[in-house]
Amino acid sequence: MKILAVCGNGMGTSMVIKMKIKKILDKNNITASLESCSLGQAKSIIDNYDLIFASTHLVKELHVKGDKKLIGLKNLLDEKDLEEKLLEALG
Amino acid sequence: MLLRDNLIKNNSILVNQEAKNWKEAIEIAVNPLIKSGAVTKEYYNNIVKSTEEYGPYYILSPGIAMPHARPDEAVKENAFSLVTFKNPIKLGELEGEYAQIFIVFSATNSETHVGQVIPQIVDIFDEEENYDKIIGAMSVEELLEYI
Repeated sequence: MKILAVCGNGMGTSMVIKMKIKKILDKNNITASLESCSLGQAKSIIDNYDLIFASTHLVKELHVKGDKKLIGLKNLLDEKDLEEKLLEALG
Repeated sequence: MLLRDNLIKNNSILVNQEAKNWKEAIEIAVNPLIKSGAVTKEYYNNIVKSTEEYGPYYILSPGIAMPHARPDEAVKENAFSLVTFKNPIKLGELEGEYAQIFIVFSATNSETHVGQVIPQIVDIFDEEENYDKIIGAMSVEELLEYI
């Protein structure tokens, strides 16, 4: 499982998303590779990831193929919401 | 890099500010960093442009925004400002798209020390009562007690 967190510049919100995802993965004993990047970088590497998180504003800028999942987040500090979305996506 | 030290160094905390709209709020929040020399005036324009293009993608959670633009010539140093407003400032049309706490940051490149500070910001606001305490702070000294 490869997870990518995306934001406008790859510095601010994507790091927050990455931090929160890591916490949830650790808590649930899930092993996955996890990276963050900017929107520009994401467009060229997105096909290498299974699960992509971004703030809701950036979701429309991204496109995923096949069974890969793209999830938009509204409140980046809401761990419960993120955990639900993450665990559901991981099946 | 510590958020607190950087805010003191840049003299970049302002409390209880007033702004008519989001552009003015961002201008107020970027100003301390222009004064300290961390960014040029162009940095404000960059943030406005990217907000107009993508929307307020830097909302951390309703009430808290971290406006920033990409590292370029407008950025001279890694720096943060923390500015609170008397009233919530509308950043977009959707529910939750407002902020009363603005944390502007500038990074000289995407791999720098700024990454160390983001977890510090998350830690502060993971304690929910800190949000009200920070908004309620009426002086820089008082606000520094909470970060």
